[in-house]
Amino acid sequence: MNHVITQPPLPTEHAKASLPPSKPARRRSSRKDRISPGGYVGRTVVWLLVAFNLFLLVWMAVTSLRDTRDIVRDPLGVPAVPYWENFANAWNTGGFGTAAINSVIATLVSSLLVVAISAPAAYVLAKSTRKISSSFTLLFVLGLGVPGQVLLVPVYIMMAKFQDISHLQMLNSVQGLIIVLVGLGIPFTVFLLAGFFRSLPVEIEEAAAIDGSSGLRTFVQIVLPLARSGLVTAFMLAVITGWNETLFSLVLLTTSENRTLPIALLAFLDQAQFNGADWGGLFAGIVMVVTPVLALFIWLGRRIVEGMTVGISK
Amino acid sequence: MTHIKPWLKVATGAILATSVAFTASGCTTTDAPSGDGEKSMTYWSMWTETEPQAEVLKTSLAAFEKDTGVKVSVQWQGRKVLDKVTAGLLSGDVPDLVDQAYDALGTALVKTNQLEDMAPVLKEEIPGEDGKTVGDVIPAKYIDNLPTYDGDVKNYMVPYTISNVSVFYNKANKVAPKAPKTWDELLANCKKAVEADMACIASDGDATWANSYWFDYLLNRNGGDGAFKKLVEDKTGASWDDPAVMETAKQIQNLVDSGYIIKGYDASKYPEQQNAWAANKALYYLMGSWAPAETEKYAAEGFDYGAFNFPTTSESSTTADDVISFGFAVPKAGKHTAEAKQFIAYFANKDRMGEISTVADNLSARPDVEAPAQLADVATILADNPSRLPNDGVSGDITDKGFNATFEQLWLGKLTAEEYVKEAKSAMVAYWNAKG
Amino acid sequence: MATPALPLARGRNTGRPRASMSAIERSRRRLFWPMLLPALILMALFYLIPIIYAGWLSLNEWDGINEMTFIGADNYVRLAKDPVFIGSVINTLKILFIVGIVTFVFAFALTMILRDMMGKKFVRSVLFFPTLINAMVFGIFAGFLFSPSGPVNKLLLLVGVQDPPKWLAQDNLFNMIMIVMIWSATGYFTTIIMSAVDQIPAYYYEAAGLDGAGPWAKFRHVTLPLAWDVISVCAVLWTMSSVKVFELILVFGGSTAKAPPTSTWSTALYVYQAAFGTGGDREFGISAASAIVSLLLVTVLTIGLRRMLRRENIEI
Repeated sequence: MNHVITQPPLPTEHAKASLPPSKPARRRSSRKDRISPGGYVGRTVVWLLVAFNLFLLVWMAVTSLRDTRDIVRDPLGVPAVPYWENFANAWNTGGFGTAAINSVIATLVSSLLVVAISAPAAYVLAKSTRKISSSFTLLFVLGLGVPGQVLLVPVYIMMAKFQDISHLQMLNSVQGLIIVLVGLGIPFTVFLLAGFFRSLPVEIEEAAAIDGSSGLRTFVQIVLPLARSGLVTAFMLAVITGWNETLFSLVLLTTSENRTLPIALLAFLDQAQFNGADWGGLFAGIVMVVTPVLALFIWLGRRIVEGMTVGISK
Repeated sequence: MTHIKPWLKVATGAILATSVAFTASGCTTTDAPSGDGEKSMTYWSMWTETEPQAEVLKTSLAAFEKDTGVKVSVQWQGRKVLDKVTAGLLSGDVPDLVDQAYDALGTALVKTNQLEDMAPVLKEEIPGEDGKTVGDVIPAKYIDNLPTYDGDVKNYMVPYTISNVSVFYNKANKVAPKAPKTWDELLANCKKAVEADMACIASDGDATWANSYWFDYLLNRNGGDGAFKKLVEDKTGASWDDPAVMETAKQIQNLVDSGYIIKGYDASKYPEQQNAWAANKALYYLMGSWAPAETEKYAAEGFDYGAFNFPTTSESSTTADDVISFGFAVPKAGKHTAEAKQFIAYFANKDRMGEISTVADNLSARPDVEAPAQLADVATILADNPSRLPNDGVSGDITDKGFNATFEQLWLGKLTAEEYVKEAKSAMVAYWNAKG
Repeated sequence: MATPALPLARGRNTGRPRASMSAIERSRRRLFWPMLLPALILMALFYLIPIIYAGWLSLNEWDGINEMTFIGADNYVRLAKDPVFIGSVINTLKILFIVGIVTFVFAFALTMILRDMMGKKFVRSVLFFPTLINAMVFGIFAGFLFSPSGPVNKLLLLVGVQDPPKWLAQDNLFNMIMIVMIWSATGYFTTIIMSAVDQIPAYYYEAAGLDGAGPWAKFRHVTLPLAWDVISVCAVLWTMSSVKVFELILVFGGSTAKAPPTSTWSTALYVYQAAFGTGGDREFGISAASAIVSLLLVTVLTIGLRRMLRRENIEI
């Protein structure tokens, strides 16, 4: 759900401030309550929910290896022999191959750019004592609350106009999508990174300044490496947002050679009209959409979760 | 001056990063590759590259390039091709040739006068056919009844594929092998089907666009040609008081109340029940003639695709059948409209257009091409009856936002005929009221 | 919008007393504009100008091809009269309030259950994961799983349910969409609330326990008040994201290649359909007007919610 991702980890300090300073919570050891009957019910429900979520993933993977006819006959069945053709079909003829490459390029390039552009801005906003900087910070925060659909038509028309003037392909091109992804991703990334920079100790920079290093060098050589984990988190979240982006891609990207994965998936659904649905291929496509995010989550899950949530509860 | 300002460094860095990124993504411009005086055209297709229809077109496009030296660049856009064309109009990136159904072309391009007049193309001779013209081989009735959507051009499309809407059934079925001619015969067969523990009518509750074919056809039989258009375009709502409308609504209510529509239709998503029909779970399916191609994969063993024209409700009923034509159109803003028109005439050749039938299993716009077996009945229906347009050519917002929502309630059995007529009337008045 | 309570505006270092401007401070000042400007320009290009442009477009009639004509507030009048638009606003509000409240209740329940459960990290991760997936996927899954002869009904038949609910009937469609939203958002909010609850020192609970408080009393008098600020931030987050819901509805209710039934539209769907919908008229003006309405909606709701959820308004 990419709409959830575009949310700030608001560092509400009230929550923390309202609590007396204390040693870290260690409550489990001291509270060996027996589990109430309600607790058992609750736990059962939770595990059922977990089982359901895991089942969905397994079912998706299994179904992607089945023949369409079999899927329709028995949606929960297991293939006797894995039907790899689904992936071959989806990749080659279904256009998912091109789409996957486009998705990877658009996502990686836009995420790199948005972090590269946001990091300096976030840094000065976090550290500056100027009055105006708080107004700018507010501007970025407000940007977070703007629903994408408000920007959809104007951005689309502006891209068209820009294409007219510059003769650079903006509509129906991966580079156009990259620009839009970067532009739209700025508020969240600036916001996220400002939080990280603010938490960095000032002393190190001061030491650098005493050593005579310039502000820019301090930023590049000292601050950025220190903020590496923040930058990586910001990058990961930009990747996930970019990977899932649908609304703007749907409007901007048109031909099969420029589609990203979500749009290829939609186009695949459309094809069912006139030539019948290919559920096997569809599930193979879904696997391609889901797997990279799943892999990222397994690999860097803690960081992603923290990026999206921890700031809020701090 | 050796001292470089820090902000300049940052700016240079940013520009560098951007340009690297762009090189990585293969920066492209809108400037078309110049062919040095070579003749060329661009075609944006409603098909995606791997569909059989695309294969047919590919063959002909290649032959066209070879025979005429006109270089064709194709983009296999898929069904939403016209969205891309209208988008292209905004930015000046427009193809020379597009294809889609008449109604899609109508709302997207005809209304705004964006398409060339095809009348001259109809007079063009078809290469390889001894002086026969395009207009000679494609029946006028497929072209003359196209709605103009208040645009200036009448012949904005040259059809190459014809679909119609008729009732499909399995000819090999044991319950009612004989196709009904009248509404009463159809109801009698429905009764037989239900007695044989089979549904009569397949329908997907969410496909209101398809379910409303029942209403549209029945109203056409009850109220005559143009009744639907008159009904939904009446801003006062007075047309809803026509007894033919009430009769139609009652006939629909009867289908619902008698349990003739397949169980679970009100909770299904297209094409779920369509597939159920192909698996012999229902007798009839009122659908566009793409139904066989869509269901082939799911059809029961020995399924023999047949179709009959929508039954008449009285002696005086018309027998008009819904024709949905798909064809080529040429946007005025294209730069190579002459080449595009040349290709249209080229493709009209029997051997080439014939592949629509022999390779893609659709009906071609040329009646002299033999229909694919599954659509043989459809070809007969088309030949024997006058043609009309589904919903009398009304489409877009009027049906999507105006008509459909209330009709859905009737079809799903949530409104009685009386309630429906009352509510639909006020919904349509509200729709027109909001239109201003 | 959310100004008063956003602590961001106060940089943490502002509190630091400083006698004179240090060297680092000066160099930072020099870098202020060059480092800020690229992001600021993008912000202007992709947020400020488009919003102003949308405002202008909403006062015009335009199909994107022919001349634009100025028609004043007519588009807004048309929207007010359009039952489909009113319906899409109502749906958006349903997402905000119904889905929001249920999700929060679930998130709290889960937090309570997970607190001393084995494997809570794993559970949390599994429940969190749907947040990261394109919601379209769930739309497709749901259509498949809940179809009349689909797996869910087959399972129900096994346990003896002859007449299963009509999951995907038009009347239920939007409810199903809301259920899927609740399912996929619960994990996210559970994670946030859990980390807030984890900050609460144990002795609060111990003290409450000594006073004879049961689980509900502990929740009511310890957890809820101490996590309140996080809850109110979450409410704002949910407001912002509920107005954006798009992909799930686009695929969930939709027949192939057709627009989803109007009864399931959200404001985001309406904006998209008015401007780019299939087979419809291209009405950029109406689309922009509906977009502006959804912007106003999110603004008013956010301010309203923040007022309502202010600590002093809540008797804890």
